[in-house]
Amino acid sequence: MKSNGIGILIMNLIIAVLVVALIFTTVDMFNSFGYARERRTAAAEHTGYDIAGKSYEEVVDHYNTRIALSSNPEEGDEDLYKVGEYCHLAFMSKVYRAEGKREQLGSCNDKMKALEAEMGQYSYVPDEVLGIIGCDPD
Amino acid sequence: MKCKKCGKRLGPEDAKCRFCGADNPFAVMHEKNMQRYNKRFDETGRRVLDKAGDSKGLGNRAAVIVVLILLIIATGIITSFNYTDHDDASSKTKLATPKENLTRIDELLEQGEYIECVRLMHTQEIINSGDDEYRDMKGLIYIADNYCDCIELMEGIVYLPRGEEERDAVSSYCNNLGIQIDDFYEVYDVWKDGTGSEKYSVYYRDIENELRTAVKVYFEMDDDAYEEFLSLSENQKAVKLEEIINNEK
Repeated sequence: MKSNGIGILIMNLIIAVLVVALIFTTVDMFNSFGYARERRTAAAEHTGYDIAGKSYEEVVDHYNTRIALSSNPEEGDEDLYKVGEYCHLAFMSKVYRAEGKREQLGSCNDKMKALEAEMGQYSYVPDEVLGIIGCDPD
Repeated sequence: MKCKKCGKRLGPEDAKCRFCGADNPFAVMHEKNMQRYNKRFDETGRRVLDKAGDSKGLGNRAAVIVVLILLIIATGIITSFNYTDHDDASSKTKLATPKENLTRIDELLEQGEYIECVRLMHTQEIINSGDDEYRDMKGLIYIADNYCDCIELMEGIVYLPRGEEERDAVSSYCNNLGIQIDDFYEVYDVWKDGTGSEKYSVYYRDIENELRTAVKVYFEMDDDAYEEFLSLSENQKAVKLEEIINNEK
């Protein structure tokens, strides 16, 4: 029957399109397995962001990105958070000083002092950062 | 029927009378009729079978289409699951209730901790939240978030090493900062009159002041120079900032 022939033709076209779509989704699915495996491996091997040898701009940039996602540092990112936060506080301390905001400045300085005590192997960071910012520590 | 010669009963299939042997004309007609009927029966049967065959073909194809669609959906679900971030929850900040967030935000605002406030908004997913509890904070969210972006760009510029290799990075930062400062004032001008919430509008001016001070401090501008800077286009702002940085060297 003519109508059946047309129906079969249309269905064959639909099947052809769906087969092509299935091929694409299957390839994408196999790619996603690879992506998931890489992510699991990266998570298992995560050693944190190494700030050694990085410029303060890189550290601050990475820190600002990370802290927008989580206020809790991932394992290995503790130094990043300390140094990044110190850089940020030093930056803001100069602004607060210029504005005459004593409370904010005081709070900033307190936090900076607390971080200085925790710098460990990065004990040189406060002097360098304050040198860049161009302000004396209180 | 009866035989025309002897009158005895005959069947339609009897070619001759069994009693007198006379020819039965009805048998010939009957035979022709039977052949015609059989032919029509066969044709009808064939048509029926063809029709059934066609329908079966449609049915098979429909089943194939359904199976293909199900397979596509299944592969799609598996793919999206694999691409979804299943990070360990312990490394992410736990979401507090809106009431707790609003209390914390009020505390930070009173302390003038605008950057901390924006960080909280990001980690607590308030920035793009459609929750009614945060409706009054729209102006604050826009202004504070833009302010935070400006500060982060300025931090990048300040901490960037001043070497030849960093010229492109300086240029890029200045470009972005020019755009971001414009975005800030665009949003600030909309909300500064307290549209939407008087509670938070008291902080808008302070945030703008902090941004103004930061630019003046780190790019060595006085009030007049800053006002002139604001009147420049995005590109002109970028050029001006780069000029100031290059003059530092």
